[in-house]
Amino acid sequence: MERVLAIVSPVLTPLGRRIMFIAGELGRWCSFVWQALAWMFRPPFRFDQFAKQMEFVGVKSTWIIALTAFFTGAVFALQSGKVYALFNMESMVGATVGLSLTREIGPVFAAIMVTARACSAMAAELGTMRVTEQIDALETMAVNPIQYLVVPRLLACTFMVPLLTMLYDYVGVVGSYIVGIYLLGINEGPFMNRLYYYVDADDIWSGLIKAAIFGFLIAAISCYMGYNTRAGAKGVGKATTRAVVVSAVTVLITDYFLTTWVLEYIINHK
Amino acid sequence: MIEIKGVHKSFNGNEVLKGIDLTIPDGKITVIIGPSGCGKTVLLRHIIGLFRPDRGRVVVDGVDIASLGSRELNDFRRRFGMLFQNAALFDSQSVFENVAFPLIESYRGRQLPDLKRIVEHKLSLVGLAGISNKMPSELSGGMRKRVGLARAIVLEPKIILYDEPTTGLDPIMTVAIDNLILSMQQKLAITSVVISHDINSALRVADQVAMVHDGRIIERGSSGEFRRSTNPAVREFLDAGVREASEGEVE
Repeated sequence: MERVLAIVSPVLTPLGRRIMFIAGELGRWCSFVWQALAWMFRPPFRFDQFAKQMEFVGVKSTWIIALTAFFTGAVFALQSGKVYALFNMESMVGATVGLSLTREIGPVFAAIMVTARACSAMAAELGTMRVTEQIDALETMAVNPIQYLVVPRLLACTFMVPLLTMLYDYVGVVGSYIVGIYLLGINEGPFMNRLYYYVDADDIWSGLIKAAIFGFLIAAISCYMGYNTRAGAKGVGKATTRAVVVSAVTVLITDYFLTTWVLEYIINHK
Repeated sequence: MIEIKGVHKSFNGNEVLKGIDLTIPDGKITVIIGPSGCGKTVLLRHIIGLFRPDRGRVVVDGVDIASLGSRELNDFRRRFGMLFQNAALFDSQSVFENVAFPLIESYRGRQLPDLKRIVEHKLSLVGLAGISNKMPSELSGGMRKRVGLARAIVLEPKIILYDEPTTGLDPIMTVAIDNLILSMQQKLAITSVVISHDINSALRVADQVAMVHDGRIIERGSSGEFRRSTNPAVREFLDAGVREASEGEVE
């Protein structure tokens, strides 16, 4: 028994420590989110901060979202068009791109782009505020920092990621249309007909619900990382990296479970 | 009056405060001195409720800080103004916005007073009239501290907490900040608590000096009483201060 323990303990001890650390972090994150939700419904309501964050997360992400969406739709049309050409089914390109964008690619890519552009900045900003005592200063001025800093960012991401997803879906389809019609020579009529036939409102809605959940999660993760930054400039860098990595991984993992369990259940039971 | 009674505080098993007892009288300047890392800032943060003691009590004007809920504590903090070590100005806001911030927040939902007049008045009190359009990044260390002080007094608090107000400043600016602390106390008749490791500065401004050493208060008294202390740790600190001052004179 002792020999077995001697062999497995060097492996299991760090593993156990890692699991305990992750469980502790998850617990602290849940408590942080709970506080943010509680402060969300208490006055004063800072609409000015909310509007500022909506502009930062949404309006300022418009071009980068449009650019990536256009080329995602374009390359998707190019690849699927070549495969469908083997079966003389090129007219299905529009429907394939439309379905993929509205259900999966739109919400996931929009959330990842917002993570890269806005949430990384949130983590860095809050982290800098923490290490330079600006968050403590807020507290001493009788302003709750979670209500002042975190709540507007959470709400802004939850509202803006679905709007950016709509833009992503639309521009992505435009990209696939241009490549499909003008580059691959697919007939416009069947292309659009299949797109209208296969993509319905439920596909768009399911994508938008996912996007709202992703928006909430990426903001909550990034704010948590920034808010709990320690150890100066190095800590800020570490918090920003962790915010981006954990947010992106969370989006992908959550997407799988949302798709397989929740949204499929909703759609199938309508 | 601020009463600190048997306050203990540990971080990750490391006991920083080991039973602090101190009474800070109204309308006077109390300077808490001690070497770096002795727990002075931790003590200051207990006074304003940023930390809660593991044991003991901090009582401000008869109210036990630890007994307050988060909303009550928020309201209670309006009695305080605090100047942070590096001023903690909001980088993204101008000097005007920084100084006006506590006013805007405390008047939220009500008719705002004349912000421009009040902000300019507070900036003139700290000798910085006419800089309200500048950004914090355009200011020197001393100017940032003075803007931080203007922000701390904008709500006319009863108590001002200064966290290492002269650290990192040149001797001329150190004296200027000391004079500012004295003039704030004389003009506004407020209770001031200053955390410092600069013994010369402490003795210049203090009505009461208390020294923290190894998590406890080892000496307290007026500046004169403090100078005459026979406690070895206090004597070492005083002698180091004298050496520093004389080296300055040689330079």
